[in-house]
Parts: sequence; structure tokens; C-alpha cells
Amino acid sequence: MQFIFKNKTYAIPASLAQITLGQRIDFEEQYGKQISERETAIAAMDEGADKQIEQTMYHMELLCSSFAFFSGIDIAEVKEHIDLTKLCNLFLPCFKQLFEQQQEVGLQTTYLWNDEVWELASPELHYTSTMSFNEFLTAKQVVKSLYDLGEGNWTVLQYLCAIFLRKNEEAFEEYFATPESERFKLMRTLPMDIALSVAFFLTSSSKAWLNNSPYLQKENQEVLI
Amino acid sequence: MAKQFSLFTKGKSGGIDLSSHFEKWGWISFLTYVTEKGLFDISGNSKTKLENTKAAKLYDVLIWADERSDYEMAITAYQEKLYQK
Repeated sequence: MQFIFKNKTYAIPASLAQITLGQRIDFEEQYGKQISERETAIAAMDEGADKQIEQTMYHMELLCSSFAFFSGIDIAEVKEHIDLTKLCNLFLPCFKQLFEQQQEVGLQTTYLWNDEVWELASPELHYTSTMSFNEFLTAKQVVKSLYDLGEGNWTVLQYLCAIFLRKNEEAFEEYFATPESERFKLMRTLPMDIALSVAFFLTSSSKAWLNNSPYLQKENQEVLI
Repeated sequence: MAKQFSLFTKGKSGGIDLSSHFEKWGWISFLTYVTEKGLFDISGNSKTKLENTKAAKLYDVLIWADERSDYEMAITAYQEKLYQK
């Protein structure tokens, strides 16, 4: 969505496809800690008018931060020169749409991105599955190491996208999951709708693998008997 | 995942609970375990045992590990019974 501010044209995203994973990571780095601290402080407050006021103020600040971040206008300028009512009326529906779209992300096995077909494996693990032990291990190790280092979820997702989202018929290579690799860097430019699909794929995979374990099936039968 | 395959759960016969070990070592110890068994090794393909294990299909490795785990727990249970007698 485009708009003019001080005789200059700016744009803010109106769909997840217009936001990159890199932008999401940068937003988290810039505001993540602040958001989390504020949310914790509000959650600890006693129910009542004060808490409601604090929540409203927090939502307004979040709107200003998001608007400033995605438009590229300095946050101080946003707070000083942009009417909050106009901001709510015009841009809140845009951001709301992004959140709604996020809830509707589903699983696809192929994606068209950068004029190439990219694929995700089927989440079901069975004898025809081509997923290698190495990609699973690399993903597990990368996630563990990053969480040990205190990295955020979106950075972790960049690594997981580099591991699991691949070009048609392309085999997994360990260097995909290294910060220096071109593949890893490319994943910063991945649109958020595809990035979230990778996250959805990983959640679905975990559930499918649970159903696939003969041992667990046996356990369930024993419980039923 | 650690809770999804029997390899990683403590059996009813009192098998080894590897979950805390995995907490510390991640999946390196599992990779070592599978590699040491050598089941997925392909001799003469100029790859190391470790490389061959990594290249194996995830499904094959997990199913094999699952079966091994159940088998080892059954043996442990039998030995415990003998010991109690």
C-alpha cells in the first residue's frame, strides 16, 4: 500500500508476500526485547482500568513501531507528525490483515519464488520419503545451538528454510545451513508467506512422525485395551 | 522427536532414559550410536562411515533405531527377571 508523506511516496506491506524473512528478523532485533518486556509487565498488572490503559498504549506504540519499521520513516517523526487516528484508520486494517493471513497459512509442497520452483518434502515420513538423516540431524543441531546462544525464533527459521526449502530435485548440502552460504543469505529475502509455510511444514512433520511410530501405536492400543 | 520414537523413551523394563543426555549433547550422540553400529555403511563407495550414515534415509534410520530399542529393552527385561530369581 502506497502513501505520500511530506511529498515523498512510501509503501507499507499489505500481504505477507510483501514482507521478507530478513525484515521480520530485523524487526525482532530492533523491537523484540522491548515488546517482550512490555508484554510481561502488562501481564503482571492487576486487572482493571490501569491495565486496560496500559494495554491500549502498548498497542498504539506497537502500531507506530510497525509502521515506522515497514515504511522506513523514523519513529520519532511518526510519533511527532502523523495523526494517530489516521494511522489507526488507514493502516491498522493493513496490519490486521497480515495477522489474519498468518493464521491461514497452509501446507504446499511446491512454491514459485525468484522464477524457480522450490519444494518442501511431504511431512509424512514413510518408506518412500527421501529426507536424509543428515538434514534432520543438521536441523536439530542448528536449532539447539541457536537456542543455546539465545537467538530468536525468526533467525532459527532462516536456517530451517535453508535446510528444508530446496530447488526441484536438489539434494541437501550441509553448507546450506552455514551463515556464509549464498543459500542462507538468500533465505533473508524469502517472502513471509513461504517462510511461515516452512514453519507449518515442520509442525505437521512432528505430528506425522508421532503417528508413524510403531511403538507409539502399540502403546495406544495397550491403553485402549 | 525424542518422545516420538521408542529409542528415546524409558522402557517399562527400566531401559536407559536418554532424554537428559540428548538435552546436553543434542543429536551428536545419536549420530555416533548409529554410525558405530555401521548398519548404513556402504563399503567401497569412498565415503567414511559417518558420511554414509548421514546420507541414509531418515525413515530407515529411525525405524531401525526404534526396533533396536524395543529389542534391547526386551533383553534387559529378561535379564532383570533372571537376576530377580
